[in-house]
Amino acid sequence: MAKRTFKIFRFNPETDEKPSYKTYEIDVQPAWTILDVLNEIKWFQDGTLTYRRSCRHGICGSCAMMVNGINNLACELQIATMKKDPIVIDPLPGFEIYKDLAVNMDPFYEALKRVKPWLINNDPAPSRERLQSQEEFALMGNSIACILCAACTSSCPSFWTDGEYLGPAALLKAFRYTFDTRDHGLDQRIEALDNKHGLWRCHKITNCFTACPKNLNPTEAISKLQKRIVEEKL
Amino acid sequence: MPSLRTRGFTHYRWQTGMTAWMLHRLTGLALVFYITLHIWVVSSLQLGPETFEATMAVVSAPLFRFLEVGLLFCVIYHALNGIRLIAIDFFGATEKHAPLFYGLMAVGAILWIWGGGTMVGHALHQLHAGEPFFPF
Repeated sequence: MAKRTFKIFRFNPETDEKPSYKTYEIDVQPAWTILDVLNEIKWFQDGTLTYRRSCRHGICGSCAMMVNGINNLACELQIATMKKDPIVIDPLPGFEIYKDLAVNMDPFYEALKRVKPWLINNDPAPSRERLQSQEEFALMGNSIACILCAACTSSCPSFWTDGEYLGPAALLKAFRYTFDTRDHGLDQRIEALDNKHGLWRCHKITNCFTACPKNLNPTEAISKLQKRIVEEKL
Repeated sequence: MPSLRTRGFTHYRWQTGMTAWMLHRLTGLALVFYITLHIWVVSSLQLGPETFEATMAVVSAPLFRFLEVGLLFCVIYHALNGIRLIAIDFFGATEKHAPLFYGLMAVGAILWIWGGGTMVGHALHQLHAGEPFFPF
């Protein structure tokens, strides 16, 4: 057990004029994550703290937040890896704040819908599955592993300044289907991709790449997608 | 409900990529400003050789020599970071973008100290010869 200090963003739009930070001193077990600390606070010290969490093993994507200035999943971030106190916990930047660490994710899901993140293929369905070779599968890279936690989109300065920007997560999804050899939907997605809130707002800042808790690479996906769209248009 | 949308700029950690991007923007704006000024200065040639000579005499003053050291910084930074962006876009260098940035910046620092040193030396020479710092 070690005593650690946590500075947590608090804001209740119904009662507070502006946000503030509240400091908590917590006895931390050696293997605790940020989520364990938040649970300790909510369950035993201060029930008014609001945050999202669900699966607590890094697959649901609910507990993405900004810890010490970088987006990550609260349930994957071990306290032991962070040497300095206080550990500062903020909500995901770029979104409207509902309360404390819970943000309004609607713009994130709206952007996702605009790229039609599903298989578009009007060929008659074969009697068994649509087969892919290993080489064809490799074209999509690890983009299929995205858990839609919004750590990347929320880390993107282009998204902070343009709330309608598709953002790295939606663009990674667009990449995943565009580079899926079974998909024929690029002509239906191109309108959403090739406009001022689309692909070209990416300036290769690479915050999305460093934020992704699944070690995916939206920056590279966007570059490949940009090249593909240029080829398509030429 | 307040959106607090842009609090990322003040609260998110300024990592290599974000800092490089912001500097790229700022040096880009500085270069646009310089190009405009440059075209305006050169356009004085239309008003005859005397006007051009007079304008050139103003922009050759030590003040402008020192400003040109800043201009050299903008040109070198923008060009070298541009190489990094091309590497990210066309050669899949995202994962190595940070070491690439620092490597290019080391090259840039050498070029800047070399070129800038020469320019500062020239300005000091002008000042020693009794030229006023401000041309106005």
